[in-house]
Amino acid sequence: MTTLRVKDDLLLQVEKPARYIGNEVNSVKKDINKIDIRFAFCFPDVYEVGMSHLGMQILYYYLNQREDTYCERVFAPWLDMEQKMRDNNIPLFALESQEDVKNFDFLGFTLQYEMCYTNVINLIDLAGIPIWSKDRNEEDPIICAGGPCAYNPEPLAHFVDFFYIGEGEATLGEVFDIYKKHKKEGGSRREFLEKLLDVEGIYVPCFYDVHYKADGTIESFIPNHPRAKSKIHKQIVKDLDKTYYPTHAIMPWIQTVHDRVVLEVFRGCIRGCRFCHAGIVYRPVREKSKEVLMKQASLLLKNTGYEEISLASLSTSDYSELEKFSEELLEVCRESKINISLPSLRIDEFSLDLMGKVQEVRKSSLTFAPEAGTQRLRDVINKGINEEDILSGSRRAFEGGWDRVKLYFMIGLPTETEEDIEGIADLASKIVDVFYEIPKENRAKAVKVVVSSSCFVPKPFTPFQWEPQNTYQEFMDKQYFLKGKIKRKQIQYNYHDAIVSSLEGMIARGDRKVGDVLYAAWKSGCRFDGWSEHFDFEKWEQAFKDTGINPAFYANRRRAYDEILPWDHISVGVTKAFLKREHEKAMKGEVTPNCRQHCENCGAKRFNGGICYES
Amino acid sequence: MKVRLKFTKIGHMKFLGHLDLQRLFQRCIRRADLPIEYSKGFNPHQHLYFALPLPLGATSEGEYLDMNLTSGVEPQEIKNSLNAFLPEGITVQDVYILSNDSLVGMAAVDAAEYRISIDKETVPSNFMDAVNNFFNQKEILAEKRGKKGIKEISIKEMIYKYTLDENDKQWMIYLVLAAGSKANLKPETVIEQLYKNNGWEYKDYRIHIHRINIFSRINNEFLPLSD
Repeated sequence: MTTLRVKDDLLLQVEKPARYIGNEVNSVKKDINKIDIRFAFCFPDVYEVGMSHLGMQILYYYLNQREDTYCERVFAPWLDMEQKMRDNNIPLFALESQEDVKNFDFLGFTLQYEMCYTNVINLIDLAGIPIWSKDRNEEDPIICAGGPCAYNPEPLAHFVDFFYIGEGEATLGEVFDIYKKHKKEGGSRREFLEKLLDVEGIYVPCFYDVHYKADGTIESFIPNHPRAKSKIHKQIVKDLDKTYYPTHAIMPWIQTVHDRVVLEVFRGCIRGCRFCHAGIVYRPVREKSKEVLMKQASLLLKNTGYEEISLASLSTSDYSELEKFSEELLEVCRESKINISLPSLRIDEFSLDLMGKVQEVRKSSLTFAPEAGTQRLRDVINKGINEEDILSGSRRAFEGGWDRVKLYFMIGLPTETEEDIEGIADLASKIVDVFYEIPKENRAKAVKVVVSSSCFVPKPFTPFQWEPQNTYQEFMDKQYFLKGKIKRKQIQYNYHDAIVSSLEGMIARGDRKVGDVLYAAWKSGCRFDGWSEHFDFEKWEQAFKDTGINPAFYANRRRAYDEILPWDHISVGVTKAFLKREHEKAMKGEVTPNCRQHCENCGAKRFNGGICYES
Repeated sequence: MKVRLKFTKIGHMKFLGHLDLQRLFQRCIRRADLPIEYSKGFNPHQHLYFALPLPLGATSEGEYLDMNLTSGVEPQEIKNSLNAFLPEGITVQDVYILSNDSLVGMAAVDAAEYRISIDKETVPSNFMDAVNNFFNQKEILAEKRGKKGIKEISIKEMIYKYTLDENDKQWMIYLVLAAGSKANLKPETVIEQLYKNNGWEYKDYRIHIHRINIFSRINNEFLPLSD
């Protein structure tokens, strides 16, 4: 039995102590004496959230395939545990070996959302490692980061030694090979980082200098090392059928957000919605074959004992073999009493039929994401769904026994007018009308339409990356306006305080200077900012004041096409020229066909794989 | 076929709550491919009948789980196949075949035996006298926190047996308490009241509860669920 890093009496004083004990079923155990590289995979959020993350499970098993490497997990200790750790001088430790990560070779952070950045800083500090990259010495681990938010690495550039740009299964192994050789031969930390300059997809911030203009925008962003690349290209796996995918999943001790088998069906999205970060940065679309999926599904179910499987992708309905695959999967799952969960389906006849088969009796709720209230605005954002689709989908659903429809919208999209917001209320109302048009005997008794709005955050590498975000006040005014327009008792309206979205908007397109704000906010006690009960805007406001940084400069300012953006040195494959074209079309309300209909030469072809090369 | 599993929950597994333990068993039963009976309906789930939930933080060498199998499997095979997938600290020790009319789960439970270990340095030197005085009271009242607030209940008749033992470092109170659906007394309720009556500060993380066994009352005799 591994000795726990935290003594029993302390563990019994914190919430959910099983978060900290490790050694779960299917976790990897290794003899530390036979290991060359110790890697702490850090998910900067609490156990239940991190354990639900598919990317972590993939990379965990992928890295542990290497005999020379032991990849262990680290999550952010919840606030009660952090307090106990600090009071008792217990530094951050990894779950598997229960050993302090300060003695590891690497800490690798996955950056899934901006609001976890103070947790990144907090974890480095809890580990007993200097927070600023420049203050670390030869004994300290190398700190690296990857994941979707790493495509704009600049807000964390001062804290992270290197960023991996792309999909870890692609070339992260190269970094380990270089490190192993480097460790054997002996060499300084700086020398190792220099060696990384020759690796594609690696960004080492300290080898680049940023100069700013008087107005705060970037004057120049230039390498200060002869081998530092001027452009860092995203690394991806070309063929998902041939790419490593785990046959196991670590079984969490406590219930997690997604406590089930997660099967990734494909990566990327054909749709090209103009607000969507994932839709661009995961290009090109790469599908797995039905045969590979069936094999992976049965292995994962067998090796976990999970009673539920979920299909993961950005838009499951777009999987080209969905009909045949779902038939086969349903068959297998029915036999072995496995539930199937099908998120991100487009509502049409086929998907309703499929959902009917999957849910059978639980025909509770149906979800649409029109995102905008009028066709004009849906065209601006290139959301290829029209009112007729939604109304006919709803009609079919109501006739099929559903009595609840959820609608997701975004407030603050570019070019939005009052009419667009009112359109949200109108659309919800039309859905209620559709319900009552159906003869009583063919539908449920009553209907509920739940409208939820979120606040639009412009993201890097989207056609809206140049757009100003609405201010907090604008968001709140618009939500109140919509609230006033929703009058029917069958419609429920859910909205949120916009403050977190405002802050996210400021960090998402931040430059290196934003790092100072993150540090100041952390220093004053901010952590778990994505958890509304812990989010403390007053502390953030103070952090802006203390650092002299104006949040509006980052969130609410329109950028010119020729401005150097903080993330311009990163290439996700999709070109800036394409994004600009898409932005111009958006302003004219012109739609762009999806990848399967017509290739728009977005730039993703450079990866030599995926949908760009399908006939 | 009705079967009863006797298992341990020791070591780090004391940090697992009851619901988490249920989920763990469900998944291990699936992996072990046991022919367990599922509920009817569209979202079938396994019927598992645990004898008595163990509080988080406590350990046990006598936990029981009953289930129905749709076809016959050798007890030894059930034990081996489950142990292949259960984590360290949870081990099936024995599997018993029950007759069809046996009570299952909590319905079969009437009492449970516990060992409560207390570090000597955390209590005053008159501990032994205090314990004896406490249990020898004519009536023992304890505060019970319920949905309607705190109420006082008499617990003496639910304490079937107590003994005190010691080693160099620890006091060990052995208790046999009423358990199950008819009358149920938690060991922590007893110990907390002992502390309260003596004016000592009670912290649940300073005492360690270990369950030794769970019993059925048959002909006025307590027999372990394994009998």
